[in-house]
Amino acid sequence: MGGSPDLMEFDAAAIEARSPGQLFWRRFKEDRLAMASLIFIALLVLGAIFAPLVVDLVGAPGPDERDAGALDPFFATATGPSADHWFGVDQIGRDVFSRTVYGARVSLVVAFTATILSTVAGIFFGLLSGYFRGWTDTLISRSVDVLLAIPYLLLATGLAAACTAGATSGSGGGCLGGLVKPGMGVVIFVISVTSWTYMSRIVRGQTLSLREKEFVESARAAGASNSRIIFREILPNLTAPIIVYASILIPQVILYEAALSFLGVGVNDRPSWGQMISDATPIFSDAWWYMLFPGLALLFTVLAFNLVGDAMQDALNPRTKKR
Amino acid sequence: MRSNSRSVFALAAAVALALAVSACGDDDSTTSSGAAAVPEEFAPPTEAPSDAADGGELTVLAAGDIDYMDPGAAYYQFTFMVTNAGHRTLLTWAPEDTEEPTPDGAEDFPEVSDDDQTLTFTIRDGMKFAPPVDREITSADYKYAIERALLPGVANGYAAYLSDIVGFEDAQKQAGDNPTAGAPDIAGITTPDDKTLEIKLDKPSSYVVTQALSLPISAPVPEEYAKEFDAENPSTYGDHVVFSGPYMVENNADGELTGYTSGREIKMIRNPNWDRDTDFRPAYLDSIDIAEGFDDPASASRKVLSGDAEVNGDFVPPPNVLKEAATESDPGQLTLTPSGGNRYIALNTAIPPFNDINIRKAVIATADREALRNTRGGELVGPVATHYIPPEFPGFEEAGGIEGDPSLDFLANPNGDADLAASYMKKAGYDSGKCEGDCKITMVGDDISPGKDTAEVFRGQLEELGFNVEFRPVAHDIMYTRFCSVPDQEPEVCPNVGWLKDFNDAQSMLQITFSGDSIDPENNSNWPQLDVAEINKAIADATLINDPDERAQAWGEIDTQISAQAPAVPWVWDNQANIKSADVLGVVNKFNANWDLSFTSLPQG
Amino acid sequence: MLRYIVRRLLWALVMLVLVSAVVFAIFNIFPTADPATLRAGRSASPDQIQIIRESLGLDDPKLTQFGRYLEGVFTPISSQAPDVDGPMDLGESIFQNNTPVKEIILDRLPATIFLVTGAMILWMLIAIPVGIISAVRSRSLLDRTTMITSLAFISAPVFWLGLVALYLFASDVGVIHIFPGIGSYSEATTFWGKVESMLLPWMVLAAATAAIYARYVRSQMIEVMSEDYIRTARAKGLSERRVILKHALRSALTPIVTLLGLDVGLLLAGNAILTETVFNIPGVGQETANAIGQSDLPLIQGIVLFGAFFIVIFNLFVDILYAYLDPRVRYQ
Repeated sequence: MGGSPDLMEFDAAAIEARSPGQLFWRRFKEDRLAMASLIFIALLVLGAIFAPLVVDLVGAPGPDERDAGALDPFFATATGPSADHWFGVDQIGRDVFSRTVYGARVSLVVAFTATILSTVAGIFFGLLSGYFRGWTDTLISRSVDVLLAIPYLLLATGLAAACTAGATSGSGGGCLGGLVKPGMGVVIFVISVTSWTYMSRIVRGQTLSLREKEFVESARAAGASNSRIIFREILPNLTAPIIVYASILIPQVILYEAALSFLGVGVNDRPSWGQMISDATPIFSDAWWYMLFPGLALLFTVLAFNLVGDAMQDALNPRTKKR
Repeated sequence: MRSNSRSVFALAAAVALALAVSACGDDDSTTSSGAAAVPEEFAPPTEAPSDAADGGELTVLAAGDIDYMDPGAAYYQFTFMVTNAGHRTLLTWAPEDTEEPTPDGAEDFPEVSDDDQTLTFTIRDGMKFAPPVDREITSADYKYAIERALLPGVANGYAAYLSDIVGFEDAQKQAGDNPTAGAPDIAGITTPDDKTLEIKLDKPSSYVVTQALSLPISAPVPEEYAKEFDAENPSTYGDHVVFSGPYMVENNADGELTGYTSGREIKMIRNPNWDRDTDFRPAYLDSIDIAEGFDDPASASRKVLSGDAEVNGDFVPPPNVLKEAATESDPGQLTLTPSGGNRYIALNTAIPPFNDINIRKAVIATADREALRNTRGGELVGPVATHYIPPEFPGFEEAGGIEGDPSLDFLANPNGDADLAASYMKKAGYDSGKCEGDCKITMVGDDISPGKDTAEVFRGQLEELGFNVEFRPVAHDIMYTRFCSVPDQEPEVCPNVGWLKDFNDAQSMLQITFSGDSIDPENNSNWPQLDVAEINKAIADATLINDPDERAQAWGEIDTQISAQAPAVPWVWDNQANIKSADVLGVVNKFNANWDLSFTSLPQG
Repeated sequence: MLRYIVRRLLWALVMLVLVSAVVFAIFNIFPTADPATLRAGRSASPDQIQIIRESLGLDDPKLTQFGRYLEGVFTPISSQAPDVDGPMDLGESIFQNNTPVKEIILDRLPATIFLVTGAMILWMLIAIPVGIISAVRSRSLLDRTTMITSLAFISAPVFWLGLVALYLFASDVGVIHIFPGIGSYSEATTFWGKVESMLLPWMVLAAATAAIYARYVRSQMIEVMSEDYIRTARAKGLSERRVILKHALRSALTPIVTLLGLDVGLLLAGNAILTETVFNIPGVGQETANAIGQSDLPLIQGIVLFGAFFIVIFNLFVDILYAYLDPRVRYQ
């Protein structure tokens, strides 16, 4: 990962009048699988936004509605797919289809928010340390080293557990003085805290080489301020690697969220796919439908994002075409 | 005591069950016909068959570890399974005991003085410590055992029941000030001779003190051997426990327990110094292998049912396996034992809106308690509770039995009664019969099934009454230590609380949980924060009643008084499901609601 | 080389101290359940809790506590507490009979090592041939199919893959009874029994990683194959097979070894938590899951720190190896 520095030059030297954006899109369109994935993602986003409508349309009950009659009459255990409940019901009689549809909300919101947060943080620290070098660089780079040395999944699990514990019930709990709310807030926070480091390293590396380039030198000679150089000269040239890396990050974040929810420290105040699989684990051998459907939803969503990410990488840098 | 959950507090994950009256899927006829809590076909055997024979090794499967090997600290149902087979406490619980214990290390029940303030135990002859101590057990070993339990390094969790012993508080203070100076002397415990143990009390509370001495705190500990371990904080006696019962954990010549690896295995063998003639326990088995680490209750249960292992230890079959056990396995493989525990949803009576008794009654009336119970596994889980003292317990019948007190209309219908709920809401000033205006309520509950399921079902029920519920799921221990057990931080609703008896006396069910005098700023277990002067007084008075029948009557009445205050939604008295492989001749200890290792046997020849 | 190693070693040591500080800070600043209350038990009075709190030193200033913690972790003895069992004294578990955290971790470690090592062998055995074939047949139908399949494996949550595998193949509850099911690792008493019980977990853990490595091997191979020296080798008339296996693969694998070191370090450090949880393998990761469920703070803290040690040590190892393979690094 991490585009080689010369890919920008390649783009800069793009054939005549076509902008890099148009070129990129033309190449991307050629990948039919990626286009299909993009459509899938678009549908998924729409489905998540209009979840109540989707659920209504197929006549399923809401995600929190319990249909006690659908449970096993004697042992009150979950029951499988039926005409009333396409994907079956869970251990307290909630419709698995409906919960799967609503679960997309959590995955997508966490995926986009955490990706944006860690990307912004990564860009910020990466730029600082690559541009100013010296002790700033030492401080940031060493902090990154230390963070990378902590097993992130364990750290995230511990952090999430601690943050969920919250300070008081009155304040609504959470950590950092209530700034980070339990549930999705904690998950987004924890994922961002443990995910910005790679982005920071990539941006730092790129900045280090960019700051020595002629156009930066000349801007500096012309008396441009540091912030102007950073934001006007360097940052625009980082767009390509940042987009590539962010697109790789999204599917990872979705899996990350699912893993945290599966471990019981993630989103558990509303339907989420990881949480559903977690709830299904003790009964997976009997209630296969409960683990299957959220799992498939995860699989297809992550696959779609991965295919799009791959295609974007290829489109930006045709020489290292993956497929 | 800790129940079958891996948490300090009672009742976290035990998916217990009991069968209500009828056999199958009849929604209406669940619990209201006053029958026993457990149906005949799943009744636990409490006697070994007449042809039971010596020999064999029993494999017990367990998910987690015992809490403490040290009998002074042990406070967990599963640990009691081990301590019951390994120690000769002054009194103990034989398999069929539910009302009162059986003398064990003591020849008989204590002689109680006329003022009910002096207990005199006579220690049984012929009992010897297991290797490496190998000597006769004397009254001093019992005195030392109780005294060392006050050390912070031992940290006994229920010694407070003994706090009426003369000099108890001084000793506790002394131990706290100097935790590594050895066990403090409790002035009220004396040993006039090797066979006599005399306990003097400040108050006439002999009944409770006697009951508390049936727990492992009274397992004899040899001072000359244990004091070097007790000089450390925490004490390391747990790694060097000396046994006195029919079984001991394998150890080496120094007394180090080689047969115990936390989270892996407890290997128990016969205690060579145990004399069968001195004991009522038959101890058929030659050895017991407790295999730990079987974290998945479903697959572990299936192993037991299919005969790969013999009996369950700390886990109970989850609902889906329970179904298999109840419908597909041989008769006798599944047994149900009332565990002496209840579960309820605490309504915080200290703050609005539940400081209004009519709103509390409305909530209880609206609650579909059967649906709550079903979150733990359907009709088999246990009777829907109508009050707090559990079945087969002194005071249970006096409090109205399975059906509860008929005058409490809001507890009458296990499926909820919307009209009645509305009428109570009207009494509280909501003319529409629903909450209006700011009806925000916070509820802090478990973050995993089945506790979370219970909370979510209850949330739906509260919302029917017009409340706007914010549910915060957290880890079970966090729920207690940061929220529900801290009055300052307690939310309006704590849906996942419950209590497991310490011993078979209603005081151990009701005092800490419902007396206003027990409310503590932290580690509080009176979750509804119920503080009603007459109940507080009735409880204080009842602790000093020493006649068993009067006691049952008094506590039964207290239970009804508490229920009438509507402090919580009681929804189940759970029974514990125990399973065994087909060939094991299992005997259940009803007190501990678990297999009794000293009575269970294997077919020979 | 020696100077480089010494410098690297010193930095690793500094890292360990810093990591300890971060871990300690995180778990002491953020709210958790109060260890004293947890230890005290249900009926404990506030006085008793206070006594325990004092005996655990929880009332001391955080800095003092941190000093004590560091001392336990890094030195064989302690000036303040004579019973410190250092180095690597990580405190004692609240829930497991006050068992030292170090003991619990060492007890759990073999299962994790066994899981990770086996999975690593398996994924390399899959990834290298698949990667090479895809690279050689670059852009063929075979290559495309392989790469998309591997992407599907990368996209599947490992814990879900584990559940599906169990549902299909576990000998107790599976549709087809082939592999030992959940918890079989604990039961197995012989080495081969343990191996058998690990087959399914190995495959599940290896699946996603093999896919990542196959893609990586492929792209490395494609890059190397276009280098001059490969063309030279071909020009010399060496067989294609020889060119690929002898020349190209060797240099393509160098960066992969680095990646491998980091991944294995991470997995040993606890990232195998998901696989361990699903298959109920008594490893370090699963212990963390338990500890979190119980808010066993000293245990969580100890495991995270211990995991960090693994990562630092594997990083060190990888750097030194890299310096050995590529001498330019040493002089940077």
